[in-house]
Amino acid sequence: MEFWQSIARTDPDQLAPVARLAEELGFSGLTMADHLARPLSIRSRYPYATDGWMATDESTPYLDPWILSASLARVTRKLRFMSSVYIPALRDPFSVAKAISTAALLSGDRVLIGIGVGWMEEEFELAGRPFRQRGRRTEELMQVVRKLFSGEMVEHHGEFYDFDPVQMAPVPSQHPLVLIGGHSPKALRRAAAADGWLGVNYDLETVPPILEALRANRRELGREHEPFEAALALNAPPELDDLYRLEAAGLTMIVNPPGLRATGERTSLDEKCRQLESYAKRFIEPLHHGRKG
Amino acid sequence: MTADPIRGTPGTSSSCRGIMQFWQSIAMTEIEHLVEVVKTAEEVGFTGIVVADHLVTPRDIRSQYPYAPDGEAAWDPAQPIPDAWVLIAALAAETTRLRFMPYVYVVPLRDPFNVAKAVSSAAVLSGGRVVLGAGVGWMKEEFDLTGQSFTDRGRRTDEMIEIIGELMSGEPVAHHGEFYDFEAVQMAPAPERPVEVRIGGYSGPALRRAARHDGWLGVEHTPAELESIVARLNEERRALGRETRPFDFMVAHTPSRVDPGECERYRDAGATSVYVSPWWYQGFVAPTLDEKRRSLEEYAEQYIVPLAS
Repeated sequence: MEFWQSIARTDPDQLAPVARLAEELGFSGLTMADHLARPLSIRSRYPYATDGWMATDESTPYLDPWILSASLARVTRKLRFMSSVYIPALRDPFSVAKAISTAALLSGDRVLIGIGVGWMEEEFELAGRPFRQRGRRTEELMQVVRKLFSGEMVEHHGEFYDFDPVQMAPVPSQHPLVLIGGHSPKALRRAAAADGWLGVNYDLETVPPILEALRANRRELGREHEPFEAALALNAPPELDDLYRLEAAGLTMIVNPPGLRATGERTSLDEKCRQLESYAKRFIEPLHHGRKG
Repeated sequence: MTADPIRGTPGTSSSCRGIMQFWQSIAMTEIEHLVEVVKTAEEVGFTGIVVADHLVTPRDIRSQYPYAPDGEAAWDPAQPIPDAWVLIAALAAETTRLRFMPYVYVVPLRDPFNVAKAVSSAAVLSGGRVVLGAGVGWMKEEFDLTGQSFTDRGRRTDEMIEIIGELMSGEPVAHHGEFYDFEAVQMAPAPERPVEVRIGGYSGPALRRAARHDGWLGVEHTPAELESIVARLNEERRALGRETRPFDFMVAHTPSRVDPGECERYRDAGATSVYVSPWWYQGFVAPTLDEKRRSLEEYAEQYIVPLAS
C-alpha cells in the first residue's frame, strides 16, 4: 500500500517544504483539490459530507492542480501528484489535455489524474459549461484527451465534441493513470473501466462494499487481471489493523486527509512537519517494515 | 515626436528611463532544454522569459495568420507549445529572479475563471514573478474547438481582463456585464500584488486596449515604426490620465552582427524592453543545449551588459 498526503487547504508558502518532507518520510505522493472560485452562497449540496456542507470557506486556497504539480515536481525527485478531484467538465478537452500533458512532461511522468464529474452547479454556470449530462460529457471529454495525448493528428465526431483533425504537442510518452471519484453505480462502472477509483472522506465501514462492487464491475468488463488502483481518504483516523484489512480488500493507496489536520490550513509549518513525522512513524514505517518482514 | 535619450521618452516611467530590459523567448524550445536555458538566461542578466500559447494545431487553418506577410500559419504541428502557466510554474521553481510572461496568452479562448485561476496560481507559486501578456487571438478554428465565440473576442477580452483583475484581488466579486453575469464569488489564494497586464497587437483597438493597461507587446518593427506607435500609445495614455503610470514598450530584437547599435536605436525610439531568441539569428540549425547557452552568453555580453546597467 502506498501512503499519500493531501495538501488541499495548505497555505501556499508551506507547500514546498511540506512536499520535500513528505518525500523524505516515504510518502508516495500528494493529492490536491480543484475549485475555480467560491460562490458566497452555494445552493448545491456537497456530496462528501453528511451535512452537505463543505468544511472550507472563501479564503481556503485552491491552486490549479496541474500548475501546482509542475511547481512541486521541480523541488522533489520522485514524489507523485494526483488531483483529488479535478473537474474536467469545467473546461474544454483541449485546455485539459494541454495542462495535464505539460505537467506530466515537466514532472517526468509523476502525475495521476483523479477526476470527478463535479457537484457544484454554480461553478459550472461561472465557467459557462453545462451541468446537465456532466457524467457522459466527462466520459467523452476524457476520450478526447486520450486521443490528443497520442500526439498524432486526431479528429473526433461524438455527442458533445466534434472536430476535424488537430494535433497537440508536446505530449508525454505515456498517458497518466486516470482514477475516477464518486460512488454512484455509474461512477463505479466508469472507475472499473479506468485505471482506478478514488474516494474522499469516507466512513471506514462503507469502503469494503465499494471495493467489492469495483471488483464485480471489473470482472464484468473482463478487466479483473488488469492493474487497478484504489485510493482512499477516510473521514476519521484509522488504526493500523484497519489499513491491513483495506489493503487485503484491494486498497492500493491510503490518503492522509487535511481534515485530520496533518496539512490542514492555519497550522504552522512546524506543526505540519510534526504531524507528518508522527503519521509516518505510526503507519508508513510499520507497514513497510511488515511487508519486508 | 523625437525621443530624448537623456530625459527619456515622454510618458515612459522614470524607473525605466534609458534602461532596457531583456526578455528571452523560449517558444518552440525543446522541452529537455528548457530548464537549463532559463537558468542560463537568469545568470547572464535577462529580466524575463516569454512563452507561447496554442492549444493544438488544426491540420487545415483557414484563418489569416497576422504575423506572416502571406497570412499563412506555417509551423510544424509537432512543435512543442506547452501550457503557458504550467510551464511558468515549473520554470519559476528553478529560478529566483526571472519574470515570466506568455506572449501572448489568448484570453478569450477561455472563460475568465479558468484564466484567473491559472494566472493567480502561477503568480502565487512564483512569488509574484508573472506578467499576463494578453492578446485576443486570430485563429477562429481554435475558438471553435474550445467553444468560445470569435467575433466578439475583443470586447469580451476587455470584460474578461476586468473580471480577472477583480477575482485576483481576493475580495468578493459580483459582475453584471455584457458577456458575463454572476453573483458574489471569491477566489483564493490571491497574489500579493496585482499582476501586470501587457497587451499584444498593433491594430487600433489593440493599442487602445494596451493604453488602459501596463504595457504594449510589439513584434518586429523598425525604430521609426516603433516611434510612431509609442507616440500613439502615449497620446491614448494621456487622454486616459494614465501618462505618469509605469508602462512597458516591448519589441522583438533580431540581432544582426553587422549592426550592433540597433538596440540603442530601439531604446531611443521608446522601447523599454526587447525580447529575443538569439540562436534563431546566429545561424544555428537545431542548436544543441551548449550552443544555446553560448548564444545567450554572447548576446548578454554584446547587448545586455552595455544597455541594462
